[in-house]
Amino acid sequence: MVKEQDEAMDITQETFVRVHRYLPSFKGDASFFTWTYRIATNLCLDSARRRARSERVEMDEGEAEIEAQMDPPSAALAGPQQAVLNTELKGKMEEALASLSPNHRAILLLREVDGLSYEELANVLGIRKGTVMSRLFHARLKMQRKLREYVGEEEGEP
Amino acid sequence: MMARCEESVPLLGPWIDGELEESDRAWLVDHVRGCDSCAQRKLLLEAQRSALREQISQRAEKIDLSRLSAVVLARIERERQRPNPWTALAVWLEEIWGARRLPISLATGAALAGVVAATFLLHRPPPPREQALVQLVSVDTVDFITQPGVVLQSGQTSIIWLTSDRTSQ
Repeated sequence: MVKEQDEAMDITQETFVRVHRYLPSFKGDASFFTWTYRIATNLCLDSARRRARSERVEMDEGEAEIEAQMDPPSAALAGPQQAVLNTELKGKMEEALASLSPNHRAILLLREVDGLSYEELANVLGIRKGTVMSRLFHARLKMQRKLREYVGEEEGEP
Repeated sequence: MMARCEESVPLLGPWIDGELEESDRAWLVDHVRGCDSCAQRKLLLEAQRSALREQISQRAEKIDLSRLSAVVLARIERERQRPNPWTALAVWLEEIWGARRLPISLATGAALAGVVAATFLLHRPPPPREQALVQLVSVDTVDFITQPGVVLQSGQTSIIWLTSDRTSQ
């Protein structure tokens, strides 16, 4: 969720320190797991937002993206899974991930890697379930678009 | 592009996430079975997930977490010995701001607008007619010996104002 490994280590430490510090105030409204995730995610988002401010990351979620999603997937990406998993593309995954806005990166990683349910995502990110679905949809879409750029799909498109 | 694809695309994600409503599941499965584009879109989402998991797992394996618990425990011990209320307050405010950014911004904006409006209303100059009335009034200070006061005279009207209600009765 953050770019630098040192930063990730600092946030991990800070998360556990805060969990210990605020444990007496933990009311049990959410699960301990969700509560801890929320602390960690907020720290990551704050850090990413500070960085994004200086890097001017694009955060719009335009309708045009939905139209882009409607285009038939190219052979390079939509074919067998090995097209996505090939070495060159894997190398670009990190780059594509880094290009997402902090909110999109957070929801994508929490869902795809950590496997949080929509309800858990809503609790961790402090948003409604409907917003979870919408944000996740756009995050996946942006990721796909970035990957398409990397595999040079524009050359194959009419 | 089939009309059904427009409805299908936003539901492919919830489908592979296992979050699809049962009412949508039947027609979506049926549609994807007969639509190559949507079947490929679904494959792409699954492939993207696999690639992400693999990528992040590989990165995570390289991170050395052996010192993490020692560092965290050392920090907690330091906090125990020197509790700093300002640090706790700063952290609390930071977390509240992170979690409730929009409502706090809206409330602050509304409060500022209220302060500006109140300042404007309270410092509005009196209407010209009131000013004229004040100018017509003549004021005499009256020493009632036991209770000081003033007499205001405006035309045929006299007002005697005393500093204590009890005396005026």
